Amino acid sequence: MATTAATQQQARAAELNVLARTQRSLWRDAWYRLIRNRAALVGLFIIGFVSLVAIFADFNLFGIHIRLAPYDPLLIKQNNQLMEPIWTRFFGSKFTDPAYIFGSDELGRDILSRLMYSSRVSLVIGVVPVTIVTTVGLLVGMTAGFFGGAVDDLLMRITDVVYAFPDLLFVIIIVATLRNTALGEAYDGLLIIFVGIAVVNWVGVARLVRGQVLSVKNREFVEAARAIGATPGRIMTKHIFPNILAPIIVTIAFAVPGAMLTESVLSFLGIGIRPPTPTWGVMINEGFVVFSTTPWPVLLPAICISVVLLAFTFVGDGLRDALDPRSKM
Amino acid sequence: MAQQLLEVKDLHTQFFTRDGVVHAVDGVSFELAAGETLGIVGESGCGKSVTALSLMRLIPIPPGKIVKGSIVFDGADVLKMDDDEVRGIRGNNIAMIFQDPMTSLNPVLTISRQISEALELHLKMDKSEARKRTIELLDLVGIPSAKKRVDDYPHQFSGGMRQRVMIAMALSCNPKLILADEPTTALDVTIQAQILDLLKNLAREFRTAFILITHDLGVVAGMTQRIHVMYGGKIVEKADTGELFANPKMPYTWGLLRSIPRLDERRKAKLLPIEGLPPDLIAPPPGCRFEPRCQYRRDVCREKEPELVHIPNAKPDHEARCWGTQEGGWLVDTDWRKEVGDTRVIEEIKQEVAQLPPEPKPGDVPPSPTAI
Amino acid sequence: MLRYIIRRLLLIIPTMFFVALITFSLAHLAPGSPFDKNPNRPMSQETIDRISRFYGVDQPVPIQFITYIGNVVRGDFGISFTRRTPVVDIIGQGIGTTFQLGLGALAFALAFSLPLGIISALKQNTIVDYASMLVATIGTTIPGFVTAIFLIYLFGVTLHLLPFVGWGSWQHMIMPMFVLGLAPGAFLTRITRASMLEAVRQDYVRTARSKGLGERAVVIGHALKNALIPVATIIGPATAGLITGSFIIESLFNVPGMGRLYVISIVQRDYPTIMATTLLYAFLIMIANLTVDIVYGVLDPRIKVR
Repeated sequence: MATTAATQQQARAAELNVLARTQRSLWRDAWYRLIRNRAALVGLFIIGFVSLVAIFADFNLFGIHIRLAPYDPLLIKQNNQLMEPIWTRFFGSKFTDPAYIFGSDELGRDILSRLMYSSRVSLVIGVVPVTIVTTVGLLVGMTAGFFGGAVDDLLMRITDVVYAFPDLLFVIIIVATLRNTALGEAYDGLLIIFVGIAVVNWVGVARLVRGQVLSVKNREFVEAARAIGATPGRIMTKHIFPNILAPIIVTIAFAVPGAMLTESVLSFLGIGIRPPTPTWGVMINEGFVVFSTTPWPVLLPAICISVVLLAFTFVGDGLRDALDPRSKM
Repeated sequence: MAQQLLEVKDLHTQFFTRDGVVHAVDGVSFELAAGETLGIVGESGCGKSVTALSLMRLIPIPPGKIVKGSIVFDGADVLKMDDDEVRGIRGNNIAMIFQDPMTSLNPVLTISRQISEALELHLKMDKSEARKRTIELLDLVGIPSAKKRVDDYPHQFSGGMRQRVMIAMALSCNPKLILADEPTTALDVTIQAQILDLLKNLAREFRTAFILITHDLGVVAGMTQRIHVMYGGKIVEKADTGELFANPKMPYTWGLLRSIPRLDERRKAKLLPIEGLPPDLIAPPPGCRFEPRCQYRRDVCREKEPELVHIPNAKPDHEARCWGTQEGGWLVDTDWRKEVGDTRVIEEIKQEVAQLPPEPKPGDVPPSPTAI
Repeated sequence: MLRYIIRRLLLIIPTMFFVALITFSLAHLAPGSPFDKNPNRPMSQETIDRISRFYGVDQPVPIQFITYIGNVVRGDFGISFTRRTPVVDIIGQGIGTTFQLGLGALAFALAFSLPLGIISALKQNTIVDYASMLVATIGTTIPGFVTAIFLIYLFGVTLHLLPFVGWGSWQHMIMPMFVLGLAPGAFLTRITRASMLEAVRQDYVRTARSKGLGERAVVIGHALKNALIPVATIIGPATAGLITGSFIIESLFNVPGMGRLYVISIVQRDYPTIMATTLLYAFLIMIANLTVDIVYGVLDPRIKVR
């Protein structure tokens, strides 16, 4: 009799729970929504592809040597300047050479190899400063939001000043003025770009984190944690951090292409990465002289920038929709 | 029989969502005579608001769609009209008062603009006439110093005052029917009674029929002549107000009555919630919609859906949708009143039910309370 | 309202001071001077000293800063290192062109973004919506100079329809204005759409329909007015985008405006010009933000501007 009652109770519970459909965790649910988003999926594939190309353009680690790039990107060939990509042959171009699939630039360097090496710089630019920005922004923002006080006041004052500049303007000033110092010359100008991007962007992340922490800090579950005697550190890491993670992930997803864009603009203006190191921005800058006669040395890196930035935007948009289904922007 | 003001027949409104088709209103029929008042009662998600919105064709399409049925208002089928004809009815012949006066008024337009809009549109008033009428209407609904406040914005009014504005707006074109969808739910308890009185008195004065939609049986008690109880997209019981309170014939209605707090209760009574959740309207139960939550269910309830039919031991126009209280059912003689508010009595009834003749099966195992 | 505006205007002063301080420090902390950078014509120490004295760069940096601020207050922004003329005159030559370009781009951005955003919100999840959102995504993502490259290749190099160097005729203005207005316009399209979608879901829109208003009156009279409030707040940042965009676009199309001047002076390390242009940009952005806040107060009756 007891067993019958128990099973009946279970059956009843099951009936009553029809409304509660299959329960997935928030993160799995978000992941499911992300991969159902076709644009985001395409974006992920492109990012994966570009990363592989960047890594294996010239991979020499653990005794394995893989080299996808057909030439040294800095190799100058006197008699092979301004070759056009091989497909232009079908449109009547006589200046093609099967050895240079994407053609060559005004110094006779192989464009394909240069594009491949450029992707390395872009990825490094996308990863390193964003990591710095996120770490600093999180630490400062959480401290300011959680404890308030002097840190908070200072952060808000700094933000006011930084917000009076357009980001890019600020980066340009920093990079331009410090360009001829040891810092500016380190790693062909890469380091100063890291610094410029980091100095300008950590403030935005810190302010976002601070706002999020403030909005979560007084919610019931944090009160509850405090009531059972959790330490501030535990409250921050176990209760507040997971709840502000979603907007931070979305911000990071958009910060990566933002950093890449900054590098390409700086290099295009001639104050970014120092030639001859190839980046897409540098290639456009160098090729612009011959643009009206031979457009390919400019068009090809321009296409690469566009595709990679679009891929990141698709993923960013997808992430935002997935993590916050209410905001459809 | 006199010509009815409103005749709804077999109305089906569905929402086409990613998870499936939601049968929000599933075969609802009722009538309303001119000047008559009707209450539609049910818990959230039972389809009562969707019914009201369907009457004015205000269902958002897509995802919603009125799939079947007819809504004959004043001799013409609203569902067969073109968009212009429907607009000619909205605000003019049928007006609606919405639940939340905080969000139902446009924050960036003045009160005067929002009321005179309909006057200019339907009654072809010019600006100054409409303004004059607007002030009169605001006076009528009891806005103090209406003349001064007419150019204020909604955020300058309190919730109760805004709902008065909504009532003024609904009355503006002297409609034949007002649909009031939970008009007091968002308001303070003290304000609720005022607003209900105002609505009742003005409707009587203007000879306007109204349908009051609410989840609270206590609200409709003094307000309407008749009450329809809805559950899971269907009407499950229809009766005159007095009859429904005196002689309810559907276990769901019993549940609703049991969950009204009563001041005249002598014993230390507990309020008894209806256990469980309303049915999933994407895949509703095949039999009676209330069966999964019903204490009195039998196998037949699960297998076949009962019709809305006249009930023995009740007034002639009292109908219910329940196998138990229908002719020959096992609940015909059950006295629902015994249960109100007293758990000991409930235990008695449970034993009683368990011993009822044909199916001595313990169908009354208390369900596990579902987490809210 | 007036008091609020005055207070906001006064708040600009300290912010400008900090902007000046940061730019000045950066410029003067950088090693070397602009005069030792020409290996072809090495100058004698005597000459360098004389020039340094002339420009006041022989003084300690804090003194220089104080002198500079004092001069700026009197409207004197110094003399350009490279052109040997007052910075005010140089900026005066370029500012008209930059305003022409900027206002044209802003007008273009508003002209296409508002209708496009509204239409795609009203036709949500149709081909029209997807197409305009794709355009908006591309417009916000692809940097202006890259778009410009594609356009120059198509309309300038291949089709010979539009000139792409210089400024003056209306043909010269089309591509720079288009490219400059594209990114802020695309962003505004997305904001307008989101905001409009939010607005048409609101209860008061249903109320408006229940009054029997036609679809036009509902959308324009009720939804749009609410939807434009958040859009207005974005125009401030969009203006900032126009400013940063302008020096890239001006350099690319060789437009003789302030932006190109700015880039040239950065490359040449012409500090008086850099300082003056930076201050001017910061000032413009703050004025744009203030204007937006005032407009916001006018649009939304709920905001009581204090």
